[in-house]
Amino acid sequence: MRTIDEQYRLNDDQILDFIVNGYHLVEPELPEGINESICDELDKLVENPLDEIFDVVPRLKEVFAHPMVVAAFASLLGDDYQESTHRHWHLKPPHSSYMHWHQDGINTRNVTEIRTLLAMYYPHEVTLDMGPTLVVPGTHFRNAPTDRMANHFNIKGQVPLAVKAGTMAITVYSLWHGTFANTTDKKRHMVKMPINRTSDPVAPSWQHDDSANEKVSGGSKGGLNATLLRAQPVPVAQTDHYKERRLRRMTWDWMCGRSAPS
Amino acid sequence: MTITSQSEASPLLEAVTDWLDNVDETASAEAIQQLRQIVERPYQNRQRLMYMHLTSLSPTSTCISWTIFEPDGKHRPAISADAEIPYQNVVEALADGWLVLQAPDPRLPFDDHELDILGYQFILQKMENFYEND
Repeated sequence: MRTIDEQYRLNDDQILDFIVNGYHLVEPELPEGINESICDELDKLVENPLDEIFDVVPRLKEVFAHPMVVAAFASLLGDDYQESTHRHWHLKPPHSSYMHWHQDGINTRNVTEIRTLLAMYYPHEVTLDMGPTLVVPGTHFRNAPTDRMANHFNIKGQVPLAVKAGTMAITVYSLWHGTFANTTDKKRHMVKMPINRTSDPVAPSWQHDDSANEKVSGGSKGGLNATLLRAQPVPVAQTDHYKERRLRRMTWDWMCGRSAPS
Repeated sequence: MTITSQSEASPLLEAVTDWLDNVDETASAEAIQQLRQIVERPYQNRQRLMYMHLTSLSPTSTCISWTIFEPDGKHRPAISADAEIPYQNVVEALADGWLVLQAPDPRLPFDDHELDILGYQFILQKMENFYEND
């Protein structure tokens, strides 16, 4: 079992925010110069090493093994999470087009059991004109094949991940994502890796306060329950919103190690 | 309020052309020639397409996603940071001359528990004249 630095585990609010929106940003306190060093090495690549990217740019291992990153993965997937053998360097070249909305992999009907995350590391600051990754919060609950998003372009509530150098964005694997165009003369780098859960949750693996459960179970006022019930990152109709609330609650209960309410 | 629909522009064009054909061109020949060039400038009447995804079947409900396909054979829409929603709902688009080509089917399959694609898709069209070199 790996060692987790307890101080960096996520808290209840962060977990609920992740359940609602489907993503979380970690800004690890990385050693000075490491982002620049990784950028320099990525800039020099002439072909994509695919799954071998960590061997070609070894300092990436330090980033993905940073205590803040490890604690976030453990909080969301349990301490026995497993890194995928699949890794990928995404280069968004200067003056390249946008990328359309898509879900990685295939759809899963089991949307309330978060078993796979996508971790995306950005070694440099990403500005809006550099083709940032885009996400549509809450879409990880939508069982929607990529083909059916073909006529969705700008979506109200879409979030560009315009992030600081060294940011690790963690998303639910099925979250809708794409990119803006890169209209600059700069290369935009990102290195991603899926992270998998290996066992069903039996208890919260984050910094959990039992009083959170009471707030979640209680009325609609205040605290964590307000996050679960009221948040609407993308405008949806009433029925969809009621379904969202139920799916959020089921996800929370499952992650807490309890079976979902009937 | 009087609203003039686009379809009334065509009889007007015919009337101006008819006038040109019968006017005494000796009085101000240069001006009349300029008018004739304007009227006779080649154009194509083409279909602009707009996809709008609303939160419900109602054309007054909130638009959450949209795109316009321009009929020049080259235009490709994109997701971009500076995109601004052109209409808040379908009725606003109707007021600007768009026509509903296809409305979402109220008998679409649904599931009591699952969520699927985002929004209800309306397809709209707007016929507009496109001139050479436009």
